[in-house]
Amino acid sequence: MRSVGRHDFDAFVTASTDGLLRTAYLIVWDLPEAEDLVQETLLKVAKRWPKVSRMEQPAGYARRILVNLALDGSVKRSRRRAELDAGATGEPASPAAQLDPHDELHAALVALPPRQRAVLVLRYFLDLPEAEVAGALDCSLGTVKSTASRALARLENTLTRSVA
Amino acid sequence: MTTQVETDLRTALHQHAARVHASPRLLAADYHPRTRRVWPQLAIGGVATAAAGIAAALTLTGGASTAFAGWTAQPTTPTQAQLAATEAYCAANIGLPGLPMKLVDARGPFTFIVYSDDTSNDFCTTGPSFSNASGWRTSSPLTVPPGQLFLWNEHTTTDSGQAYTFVIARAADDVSAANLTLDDGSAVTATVENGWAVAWWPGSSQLTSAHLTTPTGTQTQTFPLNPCGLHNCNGGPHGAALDGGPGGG
Repeated sequence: MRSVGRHDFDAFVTASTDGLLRTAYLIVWDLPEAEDLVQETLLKVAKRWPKVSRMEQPAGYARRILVNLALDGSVKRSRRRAELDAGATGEPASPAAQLDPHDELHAALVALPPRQRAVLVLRYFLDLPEAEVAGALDCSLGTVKSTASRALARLENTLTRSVA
Repeated sequence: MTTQVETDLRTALHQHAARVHASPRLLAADYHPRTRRVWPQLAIGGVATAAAGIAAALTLTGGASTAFAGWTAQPTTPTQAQLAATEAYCAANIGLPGLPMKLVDARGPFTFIVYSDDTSNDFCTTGPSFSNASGWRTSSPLTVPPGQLFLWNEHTTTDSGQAYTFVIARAADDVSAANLTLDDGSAVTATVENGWAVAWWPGSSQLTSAHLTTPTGTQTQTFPLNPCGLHNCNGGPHGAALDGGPGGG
């Protein structure tokens, strides 16, 4: 039985890694960091695999872990990144510096608070219903709606200002 | 109703995501749950010039206790259920499932299994108080000179703080039995099968010599005590010289 479970888990890893990585990347905008998050997520899933494999949506469970890891560590990562960037250039650099400076939408997205960005990624990249976004973020449906609304408004304002 | 910013956002996210792919490093990682790695870096040295075998001596600090109740200095025959349980544990936890089984060392309720194809190796053990599965390494096959063992030395600790010492050795083809003498004078009989020799004992006593049975008779191989004890000075081999491998040379 355990051998079968192991194969199931291997298949899960193969099928879900790209998706998890892309989601993580769009939330943290740092590929090595995203890879670390995916690894940590899969390790946590592996430890609970006998239980997770019986869930209706193991991928949803993994996604929830991933998003929470990403948000839990966002403040620390941001500080660390700033320290590293400051050490390298003498000035703190924002994550947006990694992006194409001509890509205003991407820059505006990266400038959002991590939680707002996570809501947008889950809603508009993964196309999750608002209820599933709420589940992934462990918050209410109303919070998802208001967070998404504020994030979209902020994006729109940023883009309007940059065009003007 | 979908706004323009929502449409643009969806497009931008997918464009960015399309450029991201899982690296081989990410896909190759072994996420399977394991217990504490007792033999984390055990490797068979690529070159075995002076080699006579490989052994790992692993010790867990602390005093003897009931954690090892039922342990025997002489190997025992595992029950069918005991062996099946260990094999099931190994299959779920070792790094390279499918390697041929080379040795089974049972001591009362404790069972240790070596899987190897001579270049890759997996080790795992189960018992009432602990279970472990080691990693594996790929290296060149090892040739052990006749009438000898080739020992390797490592140590570790357990969460429970109980001490035990493990010896994993490669044995020459002509070695059919190995009776080990420890530095406290006690004796432990190793299990010798298919070019491997394994033994373990509660506590942190070190191996000092092995009395080896070959077709030509019995001979004794000595193993100088590590001046640092089982807490290796440099993680290198204890006893016989080893060229290559972790900390070897």
